[in-house]
Amino acid sequence: MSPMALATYVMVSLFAVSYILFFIVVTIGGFFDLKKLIRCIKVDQIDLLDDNCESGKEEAPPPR
Amino acid sequence: MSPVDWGIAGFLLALLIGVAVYLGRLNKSVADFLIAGRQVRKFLGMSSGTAEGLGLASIAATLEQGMRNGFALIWVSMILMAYTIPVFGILGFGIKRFRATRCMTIPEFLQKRYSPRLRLLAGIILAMSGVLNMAIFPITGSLFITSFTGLPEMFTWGPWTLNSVQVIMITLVTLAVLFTFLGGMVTVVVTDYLQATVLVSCLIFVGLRTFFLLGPATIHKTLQDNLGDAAFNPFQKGSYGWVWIAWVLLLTTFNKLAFAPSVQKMASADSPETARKMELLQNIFGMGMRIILLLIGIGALAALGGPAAGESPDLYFRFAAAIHLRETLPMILLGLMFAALLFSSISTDDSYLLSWSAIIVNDIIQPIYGKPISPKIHIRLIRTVILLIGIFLILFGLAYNPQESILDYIYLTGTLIGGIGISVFMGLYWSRATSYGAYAALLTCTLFPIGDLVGKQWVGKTYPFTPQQSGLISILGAVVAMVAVSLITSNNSTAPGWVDYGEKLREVEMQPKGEIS
Repeated sequence: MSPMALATYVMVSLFAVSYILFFIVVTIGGFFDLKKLIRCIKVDQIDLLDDNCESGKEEAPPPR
Repeated sequence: MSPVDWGIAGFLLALLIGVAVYLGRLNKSVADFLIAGRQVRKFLGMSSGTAEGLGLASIAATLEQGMRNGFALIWVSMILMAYTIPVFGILGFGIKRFRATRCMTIPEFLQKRYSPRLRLLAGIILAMSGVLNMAIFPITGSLFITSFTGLPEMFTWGPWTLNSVQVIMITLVTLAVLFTFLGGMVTVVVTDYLQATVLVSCLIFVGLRTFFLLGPATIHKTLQDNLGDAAFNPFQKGSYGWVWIAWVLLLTTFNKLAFAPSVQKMASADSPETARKMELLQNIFGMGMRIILLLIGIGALAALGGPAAGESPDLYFRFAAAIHLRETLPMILLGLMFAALLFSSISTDDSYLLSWSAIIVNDIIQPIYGKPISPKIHIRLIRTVILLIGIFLILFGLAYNPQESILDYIYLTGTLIGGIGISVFMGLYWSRATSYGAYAALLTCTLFPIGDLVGKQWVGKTYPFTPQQSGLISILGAVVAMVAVSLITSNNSTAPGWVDYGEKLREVEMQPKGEIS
């Protein structure tokens, strides 16, 4: 087996195992984040000017 | 596929639609609809980003790469990670500064930093390249699903004879439109999280099953016999080659702040620090997913071998993995995998639909209209554009006959927006970057790929550049054009519109946690 093949297999194994563990952490963490998102969206104040359209106009520099 | 498998997929899909309908009630403002009220935290954002990046076309393309090039793609990802993790994931280069601007879309930033006209031009380029980029997804996805389910080419339903590929394609687009239409970013983020959980669990399970069924010795023998050393070395003859790798690395770097769906997820983060963490986690997570998919592709190569003599390698490799999965997965797992594939298609398409429709409304229609729009009309307008894009996707899919490689198509349309990424990075960090420089970068990146496309139609195979060479020249040319034109037009002084975004970021980071918006 070539050194490149050996290095590839070592990396594949390391990443595959850490990926599975990482996936479990992210799934559990995501669930709690999701609960928090829904709670925040329900109670948040609405900013009508925060609409992706008006904010840029005042700050736009004169065209060069 | 058995009725049980169809039932499992149908049940999971119905559950997801129920969640989408419930979440649709939560939207109260444009910010909620477009960026989930900037309330997305790191794990949720990361899961959602994974689902968005892992579309059915990407899955099909990565499985194909496993069959064609073995594990060589992993080294390309390693080279990419070796600098994206420290630069973007750890330092948050560009990402944190962009989030601190509170812009929802890239063209909005270009207006603030350069000029309103540049916003319009960037909006047109982004919308054009983005809609064309995603137009290939439903048709390639439905071709893959048809192979996976083993449906006949034509089937009869009542008095009608229908084409399976077209029916699946229309269903996929309709579902994606429905999800985006109902609740905007809140629905997209939450359903993407659920879809990522089902999708990744299934892929991990199928990947492990492939590994344990084949064993390491068979995997190595398959790779050596079919691909030789090119299965482990992307620089080897017959593998990717340095031009392709350099192009992909540059494209990935500059598109980090140009590709609207990813940027919109970044803008939805609850702070610049969360945006950086999402980027870091996504890099690591993406690598693991790629390994699993390549392994499944190699499993298909071990079972089926290469294409037969006279058979088109492109067509064979595109669908061989889907056929292999259908023939080897047991009942129930097949149904779960089918649901996962449907979810992968929906989760990508709904994110893209939302991003491109937001760009069309906010960065093209609204600047031309020139007057403020009420939030209610604004959201209604975005929904109308979502619907129109959905209709375009269906018409494109009905008329389109895929000839070229999926990756070539995706990268070609990706290169069109490279100039926008260059303008954003320069705009965030270089006080002398001018609007003229940004125009030069945008046009250089747009003209070269179009020149490549038209040139090949004109002179055929005698055209002197490969798509990879044209892509690389475009990006390098755009960087040179941006710097040179900015230096000439800035008159040795700070360009108008320059804001010290580093200072702005420090101000945002000084705010107590929970008050950042």
